[in-house]
Amino acid sequence: MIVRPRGWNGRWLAPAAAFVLGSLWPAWCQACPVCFSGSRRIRLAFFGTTILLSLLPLGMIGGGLVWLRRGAGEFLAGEFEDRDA
Amino acid sequence: MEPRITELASHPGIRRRPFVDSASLGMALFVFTEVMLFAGMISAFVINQAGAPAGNWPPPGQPRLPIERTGLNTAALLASGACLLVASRRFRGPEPARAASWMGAAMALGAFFVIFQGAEWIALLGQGLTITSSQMGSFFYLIVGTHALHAVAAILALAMAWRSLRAGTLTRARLGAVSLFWYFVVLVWPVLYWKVYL
Repeated sequence: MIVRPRGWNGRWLAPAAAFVLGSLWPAWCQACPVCFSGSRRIRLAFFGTTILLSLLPLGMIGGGLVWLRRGAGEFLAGEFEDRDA
Repeated sequence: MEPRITELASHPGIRRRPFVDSASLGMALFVFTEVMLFAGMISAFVINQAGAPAGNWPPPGQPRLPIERTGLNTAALLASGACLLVASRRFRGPEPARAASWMGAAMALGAFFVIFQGAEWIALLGQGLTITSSQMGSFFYLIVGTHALHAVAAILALAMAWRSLRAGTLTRARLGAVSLFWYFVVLVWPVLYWKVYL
């Protein structure tokens, strides 16, 4: 049984299909100002910032995990306390 | 004030302290997203700057950014972070009320930074650098303005924490969260200064 979203009557199908087909038209979609540039400086900047934006979140997550690991041993030792203690 | 200790519902009689208090954890996640926001803006700026012909930055007709004066302002902001560090240590000591003066100094230096930046903006606008005058102007006001907005929000948060401290109701968790936000504002600025001004 196909469950359709509430209010869906198919009238958005044609515009949605047109949007998808339009986005597949590469000659008209030059959103990236770097990809077609022959400048070495731009390509280097693009490369460097790609590395930065890729590694920065991973580094922050990794740093958080290292911090958790270092603090966990000390914390767990005193985590549970008896009510009457 | 010590972190809140809660009793486990599944194990009555066993009490558990949170490893990280909720305020600090929430602020850490927020700061994580903010770091990525600034990283994205800096990346866009760097790529745009690389697209300018060599030796053509700032663009013709646009003023040179005030490197020396902003360097001084950067020192004031870093000093503000140091003051808050001292305030946090004092707060954990035997007399938490002694942190108030250091926290006040941190706020004053932060306010100095924002006001000084505002004065620089007025001067730059007078010299023809506006948000629509060039791509440099657009990025400059976007990046530095976003940082200034964060600085103002952090100063307000510090002011509320300072008021609670004076009233004797400030918790360690709340101070930790506010401090984290301020350290972010302080530490992200040298990176912005390096990439945008130098």
